[in-house]
Amino acid sequence: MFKNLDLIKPYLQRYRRYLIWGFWATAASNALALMTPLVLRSAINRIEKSGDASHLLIDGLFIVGLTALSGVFRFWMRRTIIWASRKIECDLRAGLFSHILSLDGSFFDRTPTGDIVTRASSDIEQVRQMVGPAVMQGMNTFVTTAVAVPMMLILDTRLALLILLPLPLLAVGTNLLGQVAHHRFLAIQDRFSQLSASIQESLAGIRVIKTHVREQEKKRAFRGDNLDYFRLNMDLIRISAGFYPFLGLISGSTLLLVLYFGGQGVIAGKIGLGTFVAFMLYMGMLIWPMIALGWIVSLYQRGTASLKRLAMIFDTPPNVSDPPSERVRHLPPTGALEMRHLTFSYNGTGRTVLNGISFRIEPGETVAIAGPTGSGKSTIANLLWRRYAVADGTMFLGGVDANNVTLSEWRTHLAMVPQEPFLFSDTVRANISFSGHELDQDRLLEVGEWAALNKDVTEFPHGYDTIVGERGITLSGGQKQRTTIARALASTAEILVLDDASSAVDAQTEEEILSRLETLFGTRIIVLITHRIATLQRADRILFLEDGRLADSGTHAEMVARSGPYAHWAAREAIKEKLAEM
Amino acid sequence: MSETFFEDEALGKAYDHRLMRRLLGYLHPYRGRVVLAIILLLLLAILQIAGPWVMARAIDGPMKARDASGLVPWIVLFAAVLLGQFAVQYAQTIITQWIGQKAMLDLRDQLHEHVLAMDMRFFDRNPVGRILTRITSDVNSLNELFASGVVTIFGDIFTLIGIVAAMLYLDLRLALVTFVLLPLLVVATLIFKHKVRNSYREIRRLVARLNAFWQEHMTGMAIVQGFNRQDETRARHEERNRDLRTANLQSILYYAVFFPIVELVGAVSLALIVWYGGGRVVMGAMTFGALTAFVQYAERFYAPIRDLAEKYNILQSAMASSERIFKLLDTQPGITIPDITTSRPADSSRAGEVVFDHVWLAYQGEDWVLKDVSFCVSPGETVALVGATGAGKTSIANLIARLYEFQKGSITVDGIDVRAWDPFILRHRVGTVSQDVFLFSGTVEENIRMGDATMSDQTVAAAARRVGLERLSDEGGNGLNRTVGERGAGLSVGEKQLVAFARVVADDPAVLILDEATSSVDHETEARLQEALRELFKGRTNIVVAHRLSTVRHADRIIVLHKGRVRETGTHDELIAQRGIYFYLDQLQSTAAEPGLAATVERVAK
Repeated sequence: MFKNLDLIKPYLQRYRRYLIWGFWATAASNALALMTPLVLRSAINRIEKSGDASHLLIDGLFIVGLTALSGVFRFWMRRTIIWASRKIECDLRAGLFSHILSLDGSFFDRTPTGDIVTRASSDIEQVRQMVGPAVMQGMNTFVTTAVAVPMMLILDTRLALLILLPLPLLAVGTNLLGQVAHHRFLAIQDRFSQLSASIQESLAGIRVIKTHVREQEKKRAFRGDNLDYFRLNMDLIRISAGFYPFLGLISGSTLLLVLYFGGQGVIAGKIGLGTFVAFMLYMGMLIWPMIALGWIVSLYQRGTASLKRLAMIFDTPPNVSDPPSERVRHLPPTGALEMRHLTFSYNGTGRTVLNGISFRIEPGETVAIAGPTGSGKSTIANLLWRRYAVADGTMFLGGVDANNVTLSEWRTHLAMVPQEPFLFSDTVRANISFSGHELDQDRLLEVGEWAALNKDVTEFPHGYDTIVGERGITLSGGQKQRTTIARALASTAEILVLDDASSAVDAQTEEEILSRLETLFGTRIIVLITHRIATLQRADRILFLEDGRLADSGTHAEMVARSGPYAHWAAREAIKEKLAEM
Repeated sequence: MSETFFEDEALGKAYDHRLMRRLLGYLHPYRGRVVLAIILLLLLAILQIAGPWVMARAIDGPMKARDASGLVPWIVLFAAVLLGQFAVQYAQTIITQWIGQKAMLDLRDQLHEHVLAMDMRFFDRNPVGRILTRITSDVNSLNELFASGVVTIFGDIFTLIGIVAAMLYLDLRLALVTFVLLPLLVVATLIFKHKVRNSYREIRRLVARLNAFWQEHMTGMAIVQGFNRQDETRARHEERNRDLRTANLQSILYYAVFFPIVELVGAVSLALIVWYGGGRVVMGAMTFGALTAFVQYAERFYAPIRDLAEKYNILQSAMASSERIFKLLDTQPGITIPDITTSRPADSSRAGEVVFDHVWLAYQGEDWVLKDVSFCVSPGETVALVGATGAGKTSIANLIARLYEFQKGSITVDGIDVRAWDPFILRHRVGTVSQDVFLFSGTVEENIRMGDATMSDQTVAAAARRVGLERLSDEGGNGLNRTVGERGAGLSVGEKQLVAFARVVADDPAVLILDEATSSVDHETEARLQEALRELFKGRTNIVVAHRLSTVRHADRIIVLHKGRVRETGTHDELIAQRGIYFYLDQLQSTAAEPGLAATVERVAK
């Protein structure tokens, strides 16, 4: 049952002192609060017996004093236990983020972003509720019961037994009601997702609905679903609406018992009126901890369920990681980029995306990779970046196996411009200097010039300090792509990989950028994934992929002359370009 | 969890009187029940005051007189009060919640109906997720307001008044002494609520910031890792994470201080009752019973004050959602329905005719998608629209069914301007098959019928038969009752097409606009689809956005669209001979473009 707690044990351990102090504060505060009825009892008894009012002021001050002292401890109870839970929450989130930073592409492919964010927010919050409020309430219930029950037994054993016996019913009843309510709640959630799905479907199919004029029919269907949802909600309400009235009835019944048995005791002269009143107060103090018991159980259940979901991330091992230290090799300053008989399939799909790919790119070469959609071009880019694991002996830089190089060293040798131009919502400057190389204004303008970005940026409201994305201005597709190119150029890596990086940049600008790069790069390697004929023509060599195989390679002119698979593909691309110009 | 994490959305809106009036309008149909609920709340307040009262009378009566049998009636009365409380509170809660649920039901219906009436531009601009959030989550967040916020205010006020009245009645002087503390309690509560509200806002802002950070960095993880920025990113996360922790720790202090203060105020009032009240009991000015009742009333004082302070939060939190909901409800569809609409062709000789006359269309500003498009399709004619992606073919299809408004020129169907038609009747005349066939989850039969209960089973079956769907469906078992998953899952591409065809045949429009699917199918399916097409085209005017040469060949005439303009018109042979755009499009389509391939590439690339 407690196996799931393993994950947070170290965190609890870290803040153990807070929790221990919290327990003592809870104990002290409750013990003091439970003294009040005794003071009241003696005051009443004194009035009843002697009619002496002289002591009443002291009794009153005593009550205030006890409560004030109890309040100080109650302050410390929150200040320690809830405090610790907030710290645990923060540490747990930091730990989760750190772990996720080490995970490879396969994790992100199969885990939707929304899912990860939910775990980092709601699931961690559930865990916090378990280690914070639930623990605090648990201690509270324990201490109150442990102090109040013996006191009542000492005051009057028979009366205490008679009225305490039904009390556990309260915990059981709360729990039962809670369970029924939970089931109905699940049914509602279920119907709610159905309702959402049905709206979603209508919206996605709105065209068909409109063109076939079925608005009225959809309206009727929705009304039916909506009414079902309403009915299920009322089912839950019929249970949940009883919750507070039920609690009122039970706590009232305990008062009834005090009134009946206690009243008889008073009449028979067995107990004083003071004891009778003290009992009433004690019952009032015991009711909430009993109710809280059901609540604590459900917090614990939800907390462990959330821990399980968090453990699923924490237990995901990184598939791409640094080699063990004895295997670590360093990369030479320059060297050829190679793939040898590389075969690859994404986890879980089983479909071979790359099949026996071999190539060697010498320093100073510009090589293009071309092929139809789905032929595996972007996968090569992903592997070069080591987003996914490759087998030993399949990928090399300067003759060193990629798997023998630390990730950070490998990646400093490689600058990537990905297909999706992703920018952070930060300034253009921050995005370009993302690789960590400090850029002074001159260098920034230089990089901007290479990427043909400067002219656009001068028109932004704050130049390079303009924030882009959600909180700032929206860049056009071409501007985004050129910014990502600038980002890659700002790093000093000797291999530049452009994955269809200029699809939204017009042909002429692309031409400008590439010709600048070639003169700049000299001995560096450029890998271009593209389908533009002009770009392909300027490459030293083209690797043509089809269905994950290297179907053809050579220069554009060579392969066109050969009338092979590349020539077929290029002809169609050329016609598309021609059409675009017409 | 497709919630938006934008910072501004996380912040509450200020209370707005007009929004609240409009919201309360949704309770209007149920005002009878609202009144009933308020009466029950009044009854409940009386019963809650009755409990301690009965107990006081029992103490002062039989217990003081040592009369064991005299106790029984009071016990019975106390039990009756308890049961009454239970019943009234239960009934009141159910009625109040029912009102709230009903109001939300109505609101959802209204939103759904409103959204269905919007034009296609609305759906282009508003992602499905956003609209969905309005109808579901935003409405649900009004629950608290509808179900407890509005009506139970009365309950809190009644209880408060009741307790004050009972205390004043029991002992005027002691009551006044006890009330001395009341302002203190109110002030403390207001200060606390104010502090907590501010700190809660700050926390919400920081949570939104942290979530946005996660959202962004999970999406851009490849960039973070690829540029070796893990350490810096971790540090930036830690900064946000710790800011949130600091704010959270700060808010703990408010609670840690406030609760003991409330208890202390309670203790002081208890002390006052003991000291002053005890003295009065000794003096004989007050009874023991009254004293115990006082103790109990004083304990119940705080709950309604706290609840009333809570109400403002509930009202405020409903503001943001209701503003978004009303904004959607106030959005008018871009296509206006003319006051005087036409329902039948004025000139029967033009029935089934479609004419474009110098039509210009832009979805945004001056970004023209169709430029000066003119053509005429005679009744019964089949015309193929051909062009590269983005040429404007689909836009033409959209305009005939009047899914969008255009800017210049005119379009007539049956010789009548589409803007003069009742759009619903027009769409009965003009059938459409979209490029990506959309199937609803359900059965094949339901997908052909699409909820039209007036359509006979024979019509559905005949439509399926005519396009050859029955044969295919039977192969998959269950015939027309075959289940279709979400988005048509479980059906092949060809079958989905056939279902879309059958829909048209069942509706039997005079004009058909077919936006052909681009996905490739095997030869056998292709043959079946072409056979179905012939059947589909029979007896109507057909405008086909064609992607397959075989379909183009069915056409009497081909219109070539390029970059929003009509560039070429004619038959296949005529257009091939022109060696223009159609020629190249044809080259792209045909697999037999091999001879002179290298030459083509060279020529084009130059």
